This record gives sequence, C-alpha cells and structure tokens, in this order.
Amino acid sequence: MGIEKLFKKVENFFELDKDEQEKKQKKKEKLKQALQDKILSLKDKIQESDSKAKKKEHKKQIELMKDFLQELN
Amino acid sequence: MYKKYIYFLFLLLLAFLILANENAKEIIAGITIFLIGMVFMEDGFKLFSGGILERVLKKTTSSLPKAIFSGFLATSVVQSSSLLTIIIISFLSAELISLSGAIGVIFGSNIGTTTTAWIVSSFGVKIDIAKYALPMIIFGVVLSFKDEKSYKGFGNILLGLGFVFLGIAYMKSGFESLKDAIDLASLAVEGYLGVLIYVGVGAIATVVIQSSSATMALIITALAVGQIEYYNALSLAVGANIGTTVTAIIGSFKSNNNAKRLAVAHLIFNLVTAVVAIVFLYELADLVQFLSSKLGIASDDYILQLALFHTIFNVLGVLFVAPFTNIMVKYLLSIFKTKSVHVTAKYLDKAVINSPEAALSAVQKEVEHLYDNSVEVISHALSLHRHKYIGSDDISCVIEESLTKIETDIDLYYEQNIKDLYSEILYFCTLAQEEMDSQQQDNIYRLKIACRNIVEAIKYVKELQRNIDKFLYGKNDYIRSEYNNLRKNIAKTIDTIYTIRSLEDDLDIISKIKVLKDEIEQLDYIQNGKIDRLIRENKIDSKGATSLINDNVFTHNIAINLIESSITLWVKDKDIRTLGRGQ
Repeated sequence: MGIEKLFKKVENFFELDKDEQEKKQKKKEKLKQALQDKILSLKDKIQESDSKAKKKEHKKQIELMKDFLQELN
Repeated sequence: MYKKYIYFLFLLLLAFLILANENAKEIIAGITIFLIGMVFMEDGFKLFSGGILERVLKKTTSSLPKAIFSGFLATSVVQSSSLLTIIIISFLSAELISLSGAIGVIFGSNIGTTTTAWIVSSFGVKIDIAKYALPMIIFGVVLSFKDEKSYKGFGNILLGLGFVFLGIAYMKSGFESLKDAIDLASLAVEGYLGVLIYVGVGAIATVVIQSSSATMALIITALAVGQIEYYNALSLAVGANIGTTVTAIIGSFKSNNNAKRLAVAHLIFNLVTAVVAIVFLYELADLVQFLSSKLGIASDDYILQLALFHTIFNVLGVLFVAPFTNIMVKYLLSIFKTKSVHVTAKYLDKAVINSPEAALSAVQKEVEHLYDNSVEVISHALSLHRHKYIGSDDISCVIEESLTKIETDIDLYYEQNIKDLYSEILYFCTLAQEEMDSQQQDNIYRLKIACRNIVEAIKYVKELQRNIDKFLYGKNDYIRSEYNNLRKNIAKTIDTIYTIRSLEDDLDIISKIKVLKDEIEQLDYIQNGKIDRLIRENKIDSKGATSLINDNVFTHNIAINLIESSITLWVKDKDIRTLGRGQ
C-alpha cells in the first residue's frame, strides 16, 4: 500500500528504527550492569553467611551470573 | 421468544420513524454515528495506550479514595466507562485489585463519564464542530491503515472523535428542523410528575441506545435548540444514569461472579444517586445556579448548567454511597458464591477477551492457578501435605515422617481439577489471541507451553504413585529409602519454586531455579549410580530395580516440567528467561 511506504520513508527520515536498536542495546547494557551488581552482592552474602550450604549456593549463583555475562558479551 | 418479537417491533418502529419523518431520520442517524464514534474511540484507545491504562490502574487502586480518583481520571481520558469496567472486571478476576478497589473505580468512573456532557456542552453545541469532524475522519482513516499499533490507535481515536462530532451535528440539525414542525417543549410536564416521567424516558432511551453518553448528547442538543425544558433535561440526565445500569446488569448475566458483583454495586450506586437527585432535584438545581454564578457560567446558559448538574449529582452520589463500601462488599460477596465440584477458571472472563493486556494478565493468573492445583495433586500422590513440607527447615525429616497414605485418585482429580481448567485456558487463549500483537501472542504461546509442562508433570506422577504405594509401605528398607529420596527431590523442587514466587528480582529467581535444575540433574546421576550399586549388592531384586529406574526418570521429568513452567510463570523479563534457558 502506498501510504505504508510513505510512513516507512517518514520513519527512516526520523530514524525511528535506530531508536529501536538503541533501546535494545541500552537494555543489554542495563542487564550486564545488573548482573555485575548481583555478582558483587552475592560475594558480600558469601562473606556474611555462616551456613556452608548457603555459601555453596551463592557460589553457584555467581558462576551462573558469570556465564550469563559471557553469553551477553 | 418475546425478545425476538420485541426486537422485530423495534426495527419496524425505527423504519417507520425514518421513513415518516425527515427530522427523526436525522436525529437517529446522529445517534448511530455518535455510537460508531464511541466504538472507534474505545478501540483506538486500547491500541494507542498499549496497556498503559491497565498498568496505571493496577497500581492506583490500593485505597478507596485513590481508586475513585483513578476511575474518574481514566474515564475522563478514555471517555468510555465500559472499557474501564471491562478492565476492572479482569483485574478483579485476576485478584490484582480488591472488590472495594474495583467498586471505587466504578464510582470514580461515574463522575468521569460526566466529562462527556462538559465536552458536548462546551464544544459540541456552541461551535460548528461538523467542520472539524470531516478532517478528523479523513486523517483518522489514513492513519488507521498503518500496521503499527500507535498509528492505528491514534487514527481510530481521531476517526472516533470525528464521528462523535458529526453525530452531534446531525442531532443538533435534526432537533433544529424538528422545532419548526413540532415544539416538544410544549409537551413539558410541570412538578414531580414531570420529573418521574422524564426520568423514565431518560432511562428507557439509554437502555435502547445502550450508551448514557449518547443519551446525554441527545439531551444536551435537544436542550440547546430549546426542544426540552431545563428541569425536564435534568430529569432525563438522572434517567440516563439509571438506564446505563440496566445495560450493565443485562451484560453481566453471562459473566462470572465478579462481573455480577460489580454490576450490582453499580446498580446500588446509581439507584441511590438517582433517588437523592429526584428527591432534591429543585434544591440541586438551586445549588447548580449558585455554583454557576461562582464559576462564571451565565444564568441563562442551561447547557453548561446541565453539565454541572450531571457532575454534581454524581459527586454527591459518591459522597453518599462511598462510606458504605465495606458493607456493600460484604453483601456482594454473600450473594454471589461459587459452588462447583469441578474446578473451573477463576480468572478468565469473556468480557476481557478483546482487551489484550487484561486478557494476558488473566491467563497468567489462571496458569498459576493450574500450577497450584497440580502441586496439590502431586503432593497428595506422594502422600505429602503441602503445609507440612513447604517452608520447612528440614524437608528430609518431614518426608521420612510423612508415611500416612493419602488416598488420591489422580484420574478423578485430573478430571475435576485440571482437565476442565486446562481446556478453558486453551479456549480462552485461542479467542484472546485474535486481538493480540505478535509479542502478546508469544506470551500466550509460552503460557500454553507452561500448561503443557504442568499437565505432563501430573501424568508422570500418576506413574510414580503406583510404585510409591507399593514400595513405600513394603518390607525392603533399601528400596523404601530410595523412594523417600524421590519424594524428597520433588518436594524440594516444589518448595524452592514456592520461595522464588515471592522474589521480585528476575536475576535472583532465574539463578535459584538454575541452581535447583543443576541439582536435579546431578541427583538423577547420583540416583542412577546408587541403583546400580543396590543391584550389584543384591539388596533389591530385578523387579524393584526396574521400577526404581523408571520412577527415577519420572521423578526427574516431574521436577524438570515444574521448573520449566516456573521459569515461564515467574521470570518476567524475556531476555533473562532466554538467558536462563540458553544454558
């Protein structure tokens, strides 16, 4: 439809697609930051915790977070 | 039967009016165009807002005053109390808001609808809005061809507004021409008899037109051209409020208890408000006149005074009824109780099928309901009570002590508590998907997969139950200990999932689930090694070993299916879900 093309042109002119990509990139960066923060907070929890089981669980969680980070990179 | 004849008679009467009188044709055309406009505006707002309305309402109904204000604000913006009612019913069904919160929104919504009268009074009849209507319709149509929801939604809003303006213009022109032929004002009845007659006429007109906003537009345009008296217009406005309740009551007959409760709350509110308005009609009119002078509304500007009256009597209604909300809630809960042997959907309501965000919330809650039912049957099949092991510090100890058999007919439980619910979810999803965009359809798809995971877990537990009953109470201590381990693995899975449900952070949820999943995989491996050793050491016979090997697989599958469904249900962020599954 002609009108669709016209709107597409308007979108390209205003670089609306770029906005979408930028949003995705920003979200990815935000997620990376959240993962790094989580690793730090888990490290703190390990130091504070007295339970061996809890320490083990937190260590596993840290490993997972690192894997997630690697996957995002 | 009678309904069919009444409808046929209505069509005949309509045809007669259209053919017999040119002015009546114009007025009726105006009403229909106005109604088309309202439908387009409602659809447009649904597309344009992209769920903003739902999100705002979810968060702003925690107290009655907040709920009333939210209802007022939302209806003033959307100009559709029916859209708001649909969303509120879905939230109520999904237990996202309380019944008193929902009633508060409905109270506020009643005040919000009075803004339509202000718009029509201020712009509709005072300026030539028809000349704005056509450009709006043209641009509205052009924009509505777009695929993107925001363009399409904005196009529909423009189109709707254009039709509303055009409808008002037709009504106004129809009444102006009619005045030359018949003077309806000469039929005005004085005193309380007139009040009651016109209240009845307003109510009937709203039931027939099915929109109080359209009736108000009709009253205002008729008043603007002097076809009705001011006091009769006030009575008609009160009647329109009663009429809209009848529409809601009829609409709720086929809905669930929540919709019925809200419809009755609406009826109580509108009847009380109407009685107060009728009894104190002349005093209210004096109050309107007093406030008009303070607000700068001319003493002969009856159109704006009508709009002010409409707002005042609805506000007074809220002030009068709101203090009794808690009593109303108790009464409504007592008159609509759920009685059913078969567990049916708690949150799915056909009224929300056309509202994608609300429908999605309803499906999410219903799948959680299905999950809870499945946890009940799985626990009982393993002779476990949920309240004993969930949240316990020592699950192993609870499992070893829970040896009293719980008689559970899984087939019967499946028939009564799972099958119908599962079918209802799938049917609802199929209907709701039609109105959804691709992202919402993806969400529905993952929720359907979660249902499948849950149902599969129940099927595996049926296999497991037979041998639990056989070996848990048998003489072989080794095999009994192994079956206790299997019960423990499932109980631990359910307990961990219960814990993560209350967590807010998706990363916390996914990491705990992944740790649990890794443990389940490891336990499967260890369990297999243990079974091999027991066979080698002749501690279990070949029959027992075969059963244990199979049941080990079933246990693993139950746990994995529950874990998969929990990722879908409780990890909100799509990217984090993908990360969790990608490992």
